Amino acid sequence: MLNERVLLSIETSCDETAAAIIGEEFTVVSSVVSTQIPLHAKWGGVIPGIASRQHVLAMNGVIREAMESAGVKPDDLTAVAVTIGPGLPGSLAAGVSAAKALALAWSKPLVGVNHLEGHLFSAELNGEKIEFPAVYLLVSGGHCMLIYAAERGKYRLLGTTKDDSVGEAYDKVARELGFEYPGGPVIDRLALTGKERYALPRPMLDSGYDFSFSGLKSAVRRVIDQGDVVTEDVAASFVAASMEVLTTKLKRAVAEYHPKSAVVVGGVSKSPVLREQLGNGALGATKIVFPSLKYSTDNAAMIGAAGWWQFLHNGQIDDHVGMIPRLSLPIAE
Amino acid sequence: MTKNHVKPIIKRLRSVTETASAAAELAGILKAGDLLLFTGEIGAGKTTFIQSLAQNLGITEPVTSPTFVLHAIYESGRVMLSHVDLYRLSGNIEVESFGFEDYYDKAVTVIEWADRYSGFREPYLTLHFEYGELENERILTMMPAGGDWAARLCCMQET
Repeated sequence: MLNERVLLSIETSCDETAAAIIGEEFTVVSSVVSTQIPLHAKWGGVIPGIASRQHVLAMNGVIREAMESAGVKPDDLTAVAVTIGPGLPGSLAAGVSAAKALALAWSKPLVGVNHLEGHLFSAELNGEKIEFPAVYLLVSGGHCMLIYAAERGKYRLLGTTKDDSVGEAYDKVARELGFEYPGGPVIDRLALTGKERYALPRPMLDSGYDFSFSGLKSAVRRVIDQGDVVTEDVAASFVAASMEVLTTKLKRAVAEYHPKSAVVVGGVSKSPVLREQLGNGALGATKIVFPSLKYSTDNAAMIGAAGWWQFLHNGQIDDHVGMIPRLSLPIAE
Repeated sequence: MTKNHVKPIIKRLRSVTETASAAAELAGILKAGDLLLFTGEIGAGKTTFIQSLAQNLGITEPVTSPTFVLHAIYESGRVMLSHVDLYRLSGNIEVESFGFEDYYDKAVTVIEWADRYSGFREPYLTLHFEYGELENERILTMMPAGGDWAARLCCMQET
């Protein structure tokens, strides 16, 4: 029997309809994700209208499953937490509307959660504690940023992408090589057997903490245009270039800020190549932390953890919560 | 009524500077209600051109690739910019439920990977990007379609 208070968290910022029951100590009591990839693979990608309709269709089933498998009833909940942004407006609206309705019907406080902050909390689910100060590398299809946190919840944005995220570059290279969405994991797999045959640029490698992947993307396109390419070698060359940029910038941040922890989160943090390159000891005394694979991609468990933090320390606790599609990470002064 | 023979305007953009100049030139004639359709393969320069357009419209926020977010609105410039990316879509899509058409009247709408959808209605301006001979070189072909686009582009030079 869990001794912690629990909340219900809901996440619908993009492709996934997700719900979770999360304890105050970030224990994941249940976490349900209605993966929409099978539907979208048929269409070749996200179709926002269909995505929001799919969220609406999946919502009750996902919430019910999260609560039943946790053995939790509405009365047992301390609060409801929901992702309010950033994300697709139609998708966000589905989750926010459901959360507001439930909070109203059950008379529970409602907490609006920043999806980016959710990712930052994903590494602390189920008892992992991050020591601060920490540097976060958030890498996904939609985001590529380096963040410094002197203490939990106080963020300083060190750098972000000027154009494409690394996850987006992965998916685009995969498509250019003829692979279906989502192609990121395929590229990592191919890279294992490929050679770094093709010279590719490492954009913005030597300067600062911002990222740029569009130059790398066009270099790959030009290589493919030359014809007669070895697919595994294109993958290996691309992965080598991307990884060099990510690890160099992370190491630079660690060298400058001497954090106790370096936390790598977001969908691209699932990459076995990245996990291997940032294995034990890669950052000296700084401890490297990754979330469990299933909490790297979008999920409601991470939203629940960030939701508890908001609820206990601060919080947007009111039912005037609405969607903010372009929400950015709260930056400490 | 016969359709006027419309001539495309072709610009060879040899550098970042030339791209920025072309974007500045175009930005000068844009107004709310304009629809610009961008085509060209990955890395050909669509987003880069749009970043420059945005700057010339006075937009101060950084404009990044909307491939994953699909749609971004920028309001800090002299006119709203509605930036759409259809890369992740294929086949017939339900544009109505996407929502970007709601912004047509109040914004300059720029749509990347516009060839993913066949239902756009004139008037619009098509901007097609191709790789040139040299590494940084791009070829931009602008094609007016309907409305007063041909007249509005008459002063833009070919290079």
